[in-house]
Amino acid sequence: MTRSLLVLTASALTLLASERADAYDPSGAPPPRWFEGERGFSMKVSAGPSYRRIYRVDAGGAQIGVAFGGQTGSGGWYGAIRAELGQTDQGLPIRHLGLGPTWEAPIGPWRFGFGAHSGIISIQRASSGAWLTDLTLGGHLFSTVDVYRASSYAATVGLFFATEGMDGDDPPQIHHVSARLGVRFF
Amino acid sequence: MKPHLALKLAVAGTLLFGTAAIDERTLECEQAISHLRSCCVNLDAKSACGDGCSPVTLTLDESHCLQDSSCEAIRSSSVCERVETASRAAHDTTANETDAPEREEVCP
Repeated sequence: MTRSLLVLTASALTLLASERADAYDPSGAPPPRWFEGERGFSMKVSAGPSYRRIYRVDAGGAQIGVAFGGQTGSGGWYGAIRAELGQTDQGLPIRHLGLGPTWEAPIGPWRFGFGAHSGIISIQRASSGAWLTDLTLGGHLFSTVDVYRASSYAATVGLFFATEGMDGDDPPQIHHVSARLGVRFF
Repeated sequence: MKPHLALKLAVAGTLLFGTAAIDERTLECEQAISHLRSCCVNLDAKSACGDGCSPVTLTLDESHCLQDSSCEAIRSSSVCERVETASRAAHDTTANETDAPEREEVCP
């Protein structure tokens, strides 16, 4: 999973670099910067199904997220919070709340980004009904594509990959992928 | 982030939210108990997976074995009773502060 994330990051950065190089104008004019005409405050909301693997335990669920930030010439910068509900394959309920900063860059209708996040995960015991709770810290990659654009918002679909550790243990114990339907306001 | 800073944040968060680590053995044990609950009537195993004072009763192998076992096999091998006995023994062991007693395997 970690190798896949690195390959995805490298591919995204290569695409970004090639697009910026192609946009260079030899006449001396500065190259165009990102989000031309769309800069300023931005908000994103998203929701979708998720799958995670905690140690060797499979779990499915759903997540919702909201992010506030801005689109600038140096990329889109957001502070994001997401909440997830789900259950393991044996039916243990899971709650996970995470927040952190993200950065993203556009390539045509696509957005590629990454971020860091920390959070709290809780899993309900089957033995007593009490909740096991732990802190999480990790990183994520994501990509979205605009499937519909209006003057001030765009409807998006995307994928989100994350890997996280609990209480700083090594290696990370949680791997997570989710599909997202969302709206980005700008 | 420097490791000691992450550690300080984790400690601060732990104090703030009262969290306890989710380790693999505890999680797999709870998975096994969840499966047993669908097979055993009124299963009493509150301390089977540790409760902050008592240890986790089931080993990782036992937890995986139980999750892979059918209810028919579990009931025919008296697994429910063995898990309840092991859970009570673990709870009593901690209360008496003695070494963990030997017990029979719980998986069929």
